[in-house]
Amino acid sequence: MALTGRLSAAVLFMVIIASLFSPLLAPYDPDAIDLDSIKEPPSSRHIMGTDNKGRDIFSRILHGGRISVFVSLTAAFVCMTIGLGVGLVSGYIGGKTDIFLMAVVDLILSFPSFLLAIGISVILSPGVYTVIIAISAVGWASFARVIRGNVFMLRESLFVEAARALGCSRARILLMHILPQCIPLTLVMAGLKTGGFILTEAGLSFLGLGSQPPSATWGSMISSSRIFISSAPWTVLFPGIMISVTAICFNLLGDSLRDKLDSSGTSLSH
Amino acid sequence: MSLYFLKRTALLIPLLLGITFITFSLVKALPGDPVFSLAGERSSPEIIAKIREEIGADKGILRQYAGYVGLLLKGEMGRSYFTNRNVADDLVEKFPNTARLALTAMLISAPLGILLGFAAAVGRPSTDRLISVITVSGISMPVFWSGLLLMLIFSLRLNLLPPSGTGGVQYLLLPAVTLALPALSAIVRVTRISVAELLSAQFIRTSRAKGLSEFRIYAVHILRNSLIPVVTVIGLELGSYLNGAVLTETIFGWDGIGRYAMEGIMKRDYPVIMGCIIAGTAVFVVINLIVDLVYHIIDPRMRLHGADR
Repeated sequence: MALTGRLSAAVLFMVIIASLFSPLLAPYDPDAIDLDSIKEPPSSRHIMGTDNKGRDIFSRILHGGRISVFVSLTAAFVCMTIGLGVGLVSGYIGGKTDIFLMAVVDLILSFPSFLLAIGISVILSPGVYTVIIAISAVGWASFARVIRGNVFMLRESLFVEAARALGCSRARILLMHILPQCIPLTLVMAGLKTGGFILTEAGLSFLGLGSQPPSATWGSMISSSRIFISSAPWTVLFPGIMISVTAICFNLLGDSLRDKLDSSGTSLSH
Repeated sequence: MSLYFLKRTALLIPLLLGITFITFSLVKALPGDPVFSLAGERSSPEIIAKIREEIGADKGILRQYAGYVGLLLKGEMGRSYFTNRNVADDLVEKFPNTARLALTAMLISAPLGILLGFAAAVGRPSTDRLISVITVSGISMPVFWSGLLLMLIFSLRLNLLPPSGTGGVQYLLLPAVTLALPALSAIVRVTRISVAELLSAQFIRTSRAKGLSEFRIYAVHILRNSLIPVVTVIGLELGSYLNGAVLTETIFGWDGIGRYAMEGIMKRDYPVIMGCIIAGTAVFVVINLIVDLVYHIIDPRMRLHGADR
């Protein structure tokens, strides 16, 4: 793997660990209001400063990362699972099933993705699971499309023919022979898409459709602090840096995984 | 040629049916009476009765869907819960602002993106790396954050541009740059790959062997051919501006469809939200159609191998 890929993986690992252990690492209670120290600039006491209610931004970022990263990774996992299921069935069975499933995929891809995610979010009550559902409901389609293409190709390959000649059942061929071959491609897709999911989660939280106050997410921290951007820019700066760095690392990791996969002969062109 | 156009355009019908079915399902799933979700709670009893009848609220689900499509065809998207104004009228009023913003963003991102993509492909590895840093950042920064940073620097600190509002170029610049950033990245990436592929193409080697000047090879042969996939991505990005517009227009107080959607979301004004989604998707679908058709025109190979020849 290229250096950038390794580096990104290392940074992501740190972000995930920091988020997981946020209760231990956070120096302050993320929701504790301290009116004696509102909008304090970064200092040794509060390394990222405090917001308009005197809450420690570093602690809120650690706790918010928990939600932001958890939501994006869960959504990526759900997309992978649905995408694999639909892609396998569509690609292997073909015929009318394929036409129907791909029509659904095309339909979802013909919406501007963020608008559709907004539409799904407003019908459910706002919260962490709503965001996961909204991102997954839109995101699985591109997974299904790519995996279906791969299955299409694998279906004609010699080892599948051999398995068929040996009398393997359809389910066995699909699950034991084709599925494992699709896993690398699926993981690369997940790497490439999770950066976008981070941004979608942040965007939905920014619009107030995500996890509800007082619990922080990176997007909602920016949303609630943006009116103070002139007097306390750090309240907006640090959550945005976290979103950007995490998304950059996922994108770079995805890119380098794709390069690795491409050089091993599987093409991800869609 | 024309047969392809007809076929491609005819595909819109099942697509639009599918899209309206999804938005209809969303309306049905909204909390409360779907008739109210369309008509608005403050509508006069006559309008509510009219919509109730047109949508066939007491009839079967398919009849209701047909009624819903019928309403949309008449340009009826319901009334806002709060202002009781016709959502379709509001959308028509605000659309030019969003279009102006999106086109300005495209005027920034397309030429710059092609230039940077070209430079990345033909330049030294260090240039390529520098440009790829820009593109990865461009797709990884949330627009609402990069927009706020631009506002902080250029409006609040340097006092060069107004921080928010709708109006002339001075109001347009910051939101347009914000919106242009992610699209710029996509255009750079596609241009870079497209040019890099051409560099090793046979006909470029032929042009060199013919003794054409390097300038002519790059400016005419490579640039022209590399632009074909770039045109597609420009069109697609223009459509996806609708995604970014909700956040960007909100930040900069730009009076377009995006901010209108945001206000609808804040107040849970369902007719407004659904209206924005339908309008946004309709624009997206039409742009995709135009992209496909333009692609067909500008790529001679497509014409040659087109379905009707």
